[in-house]
Amino acid sequence: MYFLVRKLTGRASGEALETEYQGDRLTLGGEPGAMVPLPGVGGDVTIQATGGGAGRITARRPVIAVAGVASNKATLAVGDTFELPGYALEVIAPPQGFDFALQLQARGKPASTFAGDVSLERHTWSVRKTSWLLGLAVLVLGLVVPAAGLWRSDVADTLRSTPLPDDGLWSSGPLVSAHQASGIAQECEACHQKPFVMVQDGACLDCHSGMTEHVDVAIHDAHAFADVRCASCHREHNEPAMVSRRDKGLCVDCHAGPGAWEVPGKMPMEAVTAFTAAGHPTFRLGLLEPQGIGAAHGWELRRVRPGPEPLRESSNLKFTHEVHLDPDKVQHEGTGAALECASCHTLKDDGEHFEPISMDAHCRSCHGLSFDIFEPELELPHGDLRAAIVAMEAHFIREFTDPELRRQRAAEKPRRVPGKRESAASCEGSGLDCGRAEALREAEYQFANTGCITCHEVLETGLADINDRWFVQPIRLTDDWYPQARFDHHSHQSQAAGNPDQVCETCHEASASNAAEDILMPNQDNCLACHAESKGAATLDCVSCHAFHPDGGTLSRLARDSALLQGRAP
Amino acid sequence: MRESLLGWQQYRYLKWGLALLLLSIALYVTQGGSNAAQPPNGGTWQGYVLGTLGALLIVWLSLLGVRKRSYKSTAGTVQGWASAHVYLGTALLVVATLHCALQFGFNVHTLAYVLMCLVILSGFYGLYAYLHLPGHLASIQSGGGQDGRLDELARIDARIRDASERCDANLQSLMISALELTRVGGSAWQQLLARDRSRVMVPGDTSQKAQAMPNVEQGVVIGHLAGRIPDARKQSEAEVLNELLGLFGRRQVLLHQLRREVQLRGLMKIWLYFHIPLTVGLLVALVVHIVSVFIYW
Repeated sequence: MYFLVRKLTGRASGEALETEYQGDRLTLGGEPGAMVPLPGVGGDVTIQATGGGAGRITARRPVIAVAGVASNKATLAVGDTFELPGYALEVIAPPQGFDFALQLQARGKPASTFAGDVSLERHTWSVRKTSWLLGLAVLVLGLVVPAAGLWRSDVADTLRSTPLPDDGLWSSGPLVSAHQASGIAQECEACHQKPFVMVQDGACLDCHSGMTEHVDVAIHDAHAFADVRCASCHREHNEPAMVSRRDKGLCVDCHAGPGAWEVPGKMPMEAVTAFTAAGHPTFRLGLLEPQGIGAAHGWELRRVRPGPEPLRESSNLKFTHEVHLDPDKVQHEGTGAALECASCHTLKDDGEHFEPISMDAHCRSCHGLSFDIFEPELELPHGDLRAAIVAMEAHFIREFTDPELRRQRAAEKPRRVPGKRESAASCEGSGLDCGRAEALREAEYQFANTGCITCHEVLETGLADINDRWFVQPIRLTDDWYPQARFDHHSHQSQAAGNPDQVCETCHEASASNAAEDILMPNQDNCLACHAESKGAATLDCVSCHAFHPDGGTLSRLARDSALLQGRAP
Repeated sequence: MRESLLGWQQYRYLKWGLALLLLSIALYVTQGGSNAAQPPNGGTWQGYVLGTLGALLIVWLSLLGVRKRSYKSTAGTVQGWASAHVYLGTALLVVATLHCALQFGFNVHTLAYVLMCLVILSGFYGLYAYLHLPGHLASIQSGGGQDGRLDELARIDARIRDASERCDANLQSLMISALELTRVGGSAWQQLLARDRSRVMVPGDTSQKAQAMPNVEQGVVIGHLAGRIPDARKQSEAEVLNELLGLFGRRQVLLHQLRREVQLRGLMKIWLYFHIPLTVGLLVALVVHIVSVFIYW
């Protein structure tokens, strides 16, 4: 088929360019392959001749405007006019040899082929749509999906075990290492039991069932601490992670003005504002005092603040550190070396306290309790007066009753031992009388001259019976001088000194102490010299020395679960 | 533009921004230390204050989009708002960073922070674009602007088509292909790069088919036309060639300006395609951040 396109140039009246086209159809538009290039017209406009100069026009988009109505197809007859964007077209009668003829003229502003390509709008994402999408994505992934686990634990488990977003996305920081355990680390609800409610103490006490209250609920109103949650001090999700608050305010907020906490009949608390000479009361020593004669009613711990006069310990022990640390006077029994602190004082595993001093472990090697120079290897039992007397009587009665033993004893010539009584070698009289008399002489010597009385306070009762004549005062050494504080000897042993004893002596002046009553505990100034508030890195906070949860206090589990704390005031 | 946006009312909002900055830093440094209950973060009272400040700033900064569309509003001039937007938006970066105390993690809180940083960074680019690109644009916009240029180009193309009818078939197809294969703009990326991807079909020897060649800055066509003029056998042919050469020369200038203009306009607008959706994302992330903090209080 043959098509004729007559294009009015518009330069002069009627000037036109005619172009012939051959094909089964005529294509028009801005597409690169269009037979009639019409820049700015899209939609693959196609015209097919239907005979007699008529035709049919189609397009993929409604770009064909007939009498102002846009359409994507139209039937064309000779004389019809229609428009394509930017062009006016008219079907004219085809000359001889043509099947279809068209006259076209550009209308208005000639559109450019790339008019649509010079602005971003058609080539970028929609700002509105993208905003919606991004907002929704954040909402769904960050809140809605993780929140689905709040009401259904199985949903929460599913979310956590798959790459789906879970409530771990809400965590604001790391947990302390102890809480990075199974059942807690991923399971937010282990602590956050109710949405929009702060972590409650019950969640903590579920595991930490042994925790004790800071105050004795028998003395102080249980309500007093009810509004102080565990999490008030133990704050999680911090960076760096920390188990507990360590700032001064932790204690000082209340203890700066402890007046409100005073209980009639109880010793008032002193105000604490800082760890300085002025801000902290002087340390109170825990003194054990015997109750009743011979501590018949036990020992009572009394915490006493030192005054101008030095405090004395009343342990009933006779001992001097000065003599025992003098190498000329006392040497190690095996090696002959001078004694050192560690010869007697063995640090316990807690790093604060020492293993108890005992006769058997620490004294007996030098202060043996042999009582008969004929049998020096035989020793009295220690710690039981009656048993010691029975042992002496039994020994000497046997010695003088058995004729063979009596003969041997008379024939023997034992070596004289300094500090020991020269026991009788022979005796006139019955075995029982001789034995008893010898036992009494030895007992007198042991209790009144040298022996028990070397280390013990012995009371002479004046009674005739050998069993009642002496009373050895019991000894009780203080094992915890500062019961309200904790201390680590290990970390203090790093002090520079020539030998370990010098390190000990920096705080405990033992080598200058010539009485057992001396209290060799350093006072507050000793600690303040290094650890006062102004000392920078070595400054200690309250909980470095003081425990908030005292041993043996009321169990928090009981105190905080009690009906009193459930909202009903007493 | 520079004067009015940044220096609005004797740098009023620069002063506000600096004051905000000082306040935030002062709040931040009172946190932490050995006498604090917890290390610096969003959970201290200072952290809460900084967070509240940041959240209010984010909401207020987003309201610029509302303010500039409310032509009847009397709540300050849009210019004043824009000036405050720039300075307070920049201060927000510091406020939020101090709020979080540089603690980041794989969580919704850091997501909000990252979105905020992206919004502010895209805003910085936007400020650069608004301050510097209009000057470049003005220097090439001596004529009637983009529409005028497109119209002129269309007219030139029509004249080239008409004139080429009077040339031989080879030259005509060269001209028409140069018109048809001219590319300006295109995809967003192509608009921003403004590389001339125009081509032209150069007729080969009798044995060979026409070959498409790059026609950067219409150079091939112009060279071809210029080469043909001395060989013109007739006066009329030389006239046509001369006319075409002139038309293509003008076309070259117009296309070059058009591409640069398209590029500059694109560079001035493209950041908003990030800035606004990211702002909406940030607003939602901010809500998620606040709600999630209080779900697991």
